[in-house]
Amino acid sequence: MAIVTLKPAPLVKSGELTREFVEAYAAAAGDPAWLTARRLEALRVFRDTPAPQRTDELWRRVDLTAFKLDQILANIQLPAGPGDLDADGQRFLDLFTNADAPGVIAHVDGALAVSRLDTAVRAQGVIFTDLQWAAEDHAAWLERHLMTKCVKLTDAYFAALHAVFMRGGVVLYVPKGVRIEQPLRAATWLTAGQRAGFNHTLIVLDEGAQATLIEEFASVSPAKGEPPAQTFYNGVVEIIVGKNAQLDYVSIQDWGRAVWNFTNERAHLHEGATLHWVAGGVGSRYTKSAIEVDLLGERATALLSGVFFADGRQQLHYDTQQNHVAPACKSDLLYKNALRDDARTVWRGNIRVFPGAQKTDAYQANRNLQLSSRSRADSIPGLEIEADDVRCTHGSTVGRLEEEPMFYLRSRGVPEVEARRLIVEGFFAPVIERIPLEETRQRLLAEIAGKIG
Amino acid sequence: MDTAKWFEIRNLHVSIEGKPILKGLNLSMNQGEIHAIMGPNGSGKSTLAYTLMGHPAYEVTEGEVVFNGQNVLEMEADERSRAGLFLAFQYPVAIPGVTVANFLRTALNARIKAEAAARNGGVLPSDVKGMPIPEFRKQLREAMRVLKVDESFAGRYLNEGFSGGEKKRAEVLQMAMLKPKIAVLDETDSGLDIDALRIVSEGVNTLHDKDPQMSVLVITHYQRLLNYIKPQFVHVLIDGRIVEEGGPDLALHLEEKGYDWLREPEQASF
Repeated sequence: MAIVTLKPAPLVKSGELTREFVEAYAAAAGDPAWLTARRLEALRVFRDTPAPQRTDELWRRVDLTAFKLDQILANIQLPAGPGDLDADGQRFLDLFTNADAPGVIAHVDGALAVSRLDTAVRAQGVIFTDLQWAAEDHAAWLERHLMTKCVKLTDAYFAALHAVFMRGGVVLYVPKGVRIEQPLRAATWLTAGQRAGFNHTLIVLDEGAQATLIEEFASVSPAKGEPPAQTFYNGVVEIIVGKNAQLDYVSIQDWGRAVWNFTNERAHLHEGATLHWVAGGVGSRYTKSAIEVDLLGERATALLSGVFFADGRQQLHYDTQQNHVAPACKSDLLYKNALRDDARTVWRGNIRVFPGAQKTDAYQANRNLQLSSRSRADSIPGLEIEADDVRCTHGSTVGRLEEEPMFYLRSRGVPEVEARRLIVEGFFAPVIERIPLEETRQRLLAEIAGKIG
Repeated sequence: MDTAKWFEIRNLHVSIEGKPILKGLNLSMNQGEIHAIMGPNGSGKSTLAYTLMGHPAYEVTEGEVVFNGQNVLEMEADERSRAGLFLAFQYPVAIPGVTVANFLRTALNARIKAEAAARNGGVLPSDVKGMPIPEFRKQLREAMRVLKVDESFAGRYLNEGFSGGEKKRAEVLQMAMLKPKIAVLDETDSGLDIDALRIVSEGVNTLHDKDPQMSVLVITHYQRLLNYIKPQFVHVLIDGRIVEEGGPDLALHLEEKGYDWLREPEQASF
């Protein structure tokens, strides 16, 4: 009898990416030589990295049959100006152009649309710009930090691919002891059509610094009945919080329904550092985000919150990792999903306590609220503990919209849709309250209400 | 057929999961009256309360409920509420993450919008946004003052972590804000100590004094609540039917004699 070895098929096909194309891309972007070299290095790594396969644990629950990465990459455009900004895009951009914030960065299709930083803040040595400008104005610093410390080229297939094309996004550096009280704002819009976005977010807070950055991602959804041109978003977020520094980072993903969204996001926390990280996700056709926190210095604290609402045929996958490397650190994760229609969410969370990381206090919880019986929520917590004096707990629940609370609210005259909205808002409230800007909270609540009504 | 009363339950039959609970209940009330329904456990008291409010688990197999000329049984729970019906729950449900104030404002705005739509041929005029926040706050503060409820109540999540007494006070606070035409109190005395019972009862009485046109239907097992909220009419519910009706004296009589004398002989001899 013949032995047949079944070779698992990759979930995505990238097609052929040539060195010449990447060089032309770098030239069109006006890259300095070191950045071009890094792109070419990324290309080499990308070619050597096998595409995700269904047999990979992290990709087991993933359906990418409809996603045409090869077509998107074959048609990738050299960096050019933004596409025609539609009315929705203009409205979105206006929110930031006129925002009352110490600094604003906004991109349309990877091209800089708004860039502003208060002179008083700039005078303290704060850098708040995008990748292209940082590559020019702060080359040596950027070269040291860009995908060398936090997220690395070799981390993941989509991290390597990102590095080939990374462009736009935010670079924030806050020097030692500098505190920026009001939230900085960043925004990215992708215009309609077959687009690809490769924003890079790099945040570095030096010792004792403090800042808040609220970053929002959006694009228009294809009109009903229109054949959707696929959009590919492949982002990386790198966060370094120095000794005793404090960062609040909020990222709200409100992509249109044609966007296939892949991100690799990681934070490094040094001694006594504090990170409050709120992730919101209501958009995209498909999202796969790896969100990791490495607690590298003693007594660092990470508070990770997530609010996600999937409807229609959306699939939102979040893989979170809390790595306790140093002793006496605290991490607390709470991710909440609401689902309706045929939507699907997957949360896979892992707490890892390294040898020697005694007095670790780690918690993770995932709560799911299903508004339809056809939706599906997978919740997979995990613990890997290699130290003995630790406190690690986790909890995950999947619940339905219950009849009794609905009846109670309706018995007070609240119509059915409003009652459902109240219950879902209440479900998300403890997480939304952690967003430090009323305007952003309200916009997220409006998106949530829109999904219910 | 006689002319309909202001509020009338006619020959009401209700089943839960196919099991008949109410078996031909008749009851009528006029505007401003306070009625009590008394009955032993399992007689159908809570079934009546939930059915009047339109809980989907209770199936009406026969009969009518007419209120102000409207057929109540054809209305959804929220429509009944907006028409003026209110149920103070025996076991109020916690709504995590929704503050008392947020909830009450949503409920009041739903009323304002429904009324505006009704005046406009069923379409909500675009300029109707609901009650302005300062006006809402004023009303809420006034209601909390009258009911001796602490102002911190407004910011708490509805019924979450509330004590038994706080839950019942929250029910009366909602009643004060929603200003019903008929308030049904389902075992409002259960789980309350005598102080809490007095506060809640005083709240109901105050609301009735402020709006003497409001009718109240007190559903209770024990007479003690009726020492505080004094009914003009008492109905005794046993095995899904009203078996006796009378004035306030009937409640005292029941307190003394129990319910057994009213049961049918074959049921009494167990």
